[in-house]
Amino acid sequence: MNKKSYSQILDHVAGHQMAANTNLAPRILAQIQKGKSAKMNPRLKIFAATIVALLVIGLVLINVPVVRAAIQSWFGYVPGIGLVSEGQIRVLAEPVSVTQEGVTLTVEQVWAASDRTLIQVSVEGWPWGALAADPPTNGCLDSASLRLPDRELTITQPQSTFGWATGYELKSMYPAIPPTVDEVTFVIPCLILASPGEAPGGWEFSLRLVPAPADTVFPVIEISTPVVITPTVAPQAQTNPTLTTDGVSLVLDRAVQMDDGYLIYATLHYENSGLGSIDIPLDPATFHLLDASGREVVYELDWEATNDILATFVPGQTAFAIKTAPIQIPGPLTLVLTSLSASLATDASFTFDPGLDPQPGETWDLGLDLDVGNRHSLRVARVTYDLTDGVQAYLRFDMESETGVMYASLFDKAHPLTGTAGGGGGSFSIGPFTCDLYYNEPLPKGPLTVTVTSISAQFPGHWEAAWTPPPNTNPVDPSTVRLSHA
Amino acid sequence: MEDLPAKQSDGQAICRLKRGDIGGLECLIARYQGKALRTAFLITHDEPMAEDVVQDVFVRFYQRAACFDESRTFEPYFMRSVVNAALNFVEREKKGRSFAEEDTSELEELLEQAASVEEQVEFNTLKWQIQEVLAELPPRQRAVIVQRYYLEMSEQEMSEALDSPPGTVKWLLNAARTRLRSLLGSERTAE
Repeated sequence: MNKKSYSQILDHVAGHQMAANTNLAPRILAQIQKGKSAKMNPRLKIFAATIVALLVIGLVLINVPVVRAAIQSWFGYVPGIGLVSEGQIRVLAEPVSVTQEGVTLTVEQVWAASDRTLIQVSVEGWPWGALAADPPTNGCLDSASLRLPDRELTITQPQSTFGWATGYELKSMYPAIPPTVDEVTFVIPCLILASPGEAPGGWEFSLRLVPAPADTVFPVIEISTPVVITPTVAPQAQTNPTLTTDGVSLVLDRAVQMDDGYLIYATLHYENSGLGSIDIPLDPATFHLLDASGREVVYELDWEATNDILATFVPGQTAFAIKTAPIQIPGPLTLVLTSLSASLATDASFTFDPGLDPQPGETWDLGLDLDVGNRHSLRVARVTYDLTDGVQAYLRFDMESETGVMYASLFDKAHPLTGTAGGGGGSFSIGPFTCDLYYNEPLPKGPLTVTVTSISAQFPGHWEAAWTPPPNTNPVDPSTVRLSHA
Repeated sequence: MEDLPAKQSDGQAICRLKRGDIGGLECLIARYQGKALRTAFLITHDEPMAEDVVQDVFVRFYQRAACFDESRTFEPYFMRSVVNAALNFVEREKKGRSFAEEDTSELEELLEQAASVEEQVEFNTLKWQIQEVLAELPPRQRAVIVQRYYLEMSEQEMSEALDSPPGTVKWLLNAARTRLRSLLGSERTAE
């Protein structure tokens, strides 16, 4: 016997005492749905309605951020806030802290641009004892506001938070502060998710804005005529005329010269492809950046910049940004993608008969091969029937694929479901995976027709786009990239 | 094809979640609920409470995921949240019940026996013993044991996670070991 680690032993100790195969997904998703619909904070309801309205109106109106992002030429890139349309940026003169009852809130930074304001706050000493018993329903979700001399500004995008054991960081986006206003009051009514009255509230901060230092804004190079090469379908795919990656294109949108390389914004367009969504390409085995000599350039996905553009989500597009290492060889840079991970709708179905008296824990070895279209197939290896908590029954389908399907969504159109879930191999790697269908007890009797409503899979292909950095900026010279702002 | 590294996969899942695709959360649940449940159970010693803890932490993450920084590793952040939430639940549940910070036995000795044991029967017996002596520890001491030996966190990471000075963590860990040694000694004497 191999020597076990302490972690493995404790894993055995806990696992020995606990029910096997507990799946919390239905409970968690039900709580989220309940929180969304029945008990949503009034301000969030208004916000959600506003977002929906903007998404709809945004398709036709130019002043909606989504459309603006697509057609606007950006002036610069500001680390922390993202792309800005004009150069005049103001920042916080100095961080401002307030402490109440052992909890310290610090306004760490403010970026005031001509079109928006971003405020970063840190909270230390977050009182866990003040966490509401049912946080989504009873905890504080009120957002902070910016009080100007003549009005109050409220958030325009969902707050972003990052939590740790003793606190969290909060970034909130607001409308622009008029250029004539240099002093504002930031008001935080309560700590996130705290019970009313259980944690200090009514926080106020006097903020003073000053012009940003000269090195705050990096210039943006709009790539106005991106080189887009129609995807060349991989040889094995040419036999099937219905391959849904036709119509997918990779476009370079813009670049920002940083001190130590470029920030390159790109978009995968799939509006006319029939794909449900495309994941951001992350696999270095299939996504390459080449310099003029054809050598690989080191890069990484820049999540901060990607988050910034994801906030203006456009249907049919997956936008992302990568940060490159310094470019040593003058000439074009070429992004090459040889496979993409995407989901697409399917309508394949299979029949499974659990019989008239299925018992919890019963399994059926199906070994059923299913063609789901677009050259993909699934094998439904096994089905297991079990109960979660005496209220819900679930069927777990053990599945695998020889064609690169990583995940499938199942549905039973004939019977009401209480939820679906999946896991196992994971949605981003190839291997066996599971799909669950949840029913209220008892399980429907007799044959069930299970529909595969969508699959996630790797699609081979070849997409590339190239851009040549301005010759006067190669190799990178930090002294040439920063702008001065009075 | 090789699997993507877990960090990248987590990043993708969070990215999907940010774009309104609840499937991203389902991926994270599928990937981490097992370890999270066992972590919470080792601290709470109450399976329904452990489920509530993990459910609560996932829901809280969902609410805060809007712009979670995917460049940070998800798992350590999430497991720290589970440990703290489990402690919080236990603190509420005990409602005035106090646990004395007692001297304990040497955990390494017990775990070392379990690590090296060849016979399944003996291993199962040791598992029960570990379970029982863990149950006697105050929740905060259980938490440091779980963090150190189950989640394999460093003392510095534990210090940050528990918001306690390194010296306090060291003391808690030592007290837990001593307490476990003492309890184990009593059991063996009784046998």
